[in-house]
Amino acid sequence: MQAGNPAYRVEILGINLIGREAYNVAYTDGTSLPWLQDVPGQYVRANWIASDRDVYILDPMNQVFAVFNLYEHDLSLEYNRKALKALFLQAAGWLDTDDDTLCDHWERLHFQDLSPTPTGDPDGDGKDNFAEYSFGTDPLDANSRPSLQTVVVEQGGERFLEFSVNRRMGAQVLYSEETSATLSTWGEAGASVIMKEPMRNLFDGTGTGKATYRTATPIGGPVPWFFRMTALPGIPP
Amino acid sequence: MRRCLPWLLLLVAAAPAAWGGKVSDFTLEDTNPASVRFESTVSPRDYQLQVTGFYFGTATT
Repeated sequence: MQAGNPAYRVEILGINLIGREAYNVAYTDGTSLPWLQDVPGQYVRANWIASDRDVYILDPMNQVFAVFNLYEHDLSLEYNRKALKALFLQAAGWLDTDDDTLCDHWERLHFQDLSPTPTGDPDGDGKDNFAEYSFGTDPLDANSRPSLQTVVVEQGGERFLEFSVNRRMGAQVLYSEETSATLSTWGEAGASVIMKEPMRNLFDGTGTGKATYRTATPIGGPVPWFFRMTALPGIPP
Repeated sequence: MRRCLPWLLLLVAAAPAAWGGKVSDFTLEDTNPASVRFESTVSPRDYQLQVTGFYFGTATT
């Protein structure tokens, strides 16, 4: 589903019944999905009133979007697989009902309504709401601002620049990597910058992941080199 | 209004934990050695602003 719909970001996890801990290793063999062990004191299955083989689909506000039981809907049947996939895609479809380039869920999470504007800066940190949204920072905390983390690494006796930035998972925002030698004219970074590793979900409730890049050629030459990442509103799929 | 998918209502179950509000929070450990979150404590709040599916299973031999 992820490969066919890269604009979306869906995470699937499993929760094992209390008392079945002894069988976890056999159950997770061959899969990389998180497999959580329910325990006394948490009683997740009871608190969520879940039945065995329920799939709880949560929307971006952590609210139940749908429940799909695998006893009732055998996934060996294609139409059931399509139905489950459709539910996930529907839940993942982002809303921007006020057409302001800020996802409704993000606005409600931080402001409890759709009042913020993309150019507003309620915490006065110089980064507008669209920038805070694009780079996963808190629009109400002046100490939380988009930033690029940089480090110089040595490899083979030469030095390369590595830099990381938090950005939205999925395609709600489009990003471009640009470089410049003068800070006045910018062009696409192209082959001069490589993505060092796949983007890593931060799992911090911001819906963002960390992207890490590296310069393709060693640094320290006579020509200055500057990098920037720009964000633009995404196009709904 | 910008919307990326047409709305299709599929009602597939009754009485889930928290229609109309966030699900109750929890903190459970990931026991899968092959998972990126192995040995981490996981909460549904980690996945806010993303869509998640939680499967309630019963591990057996």
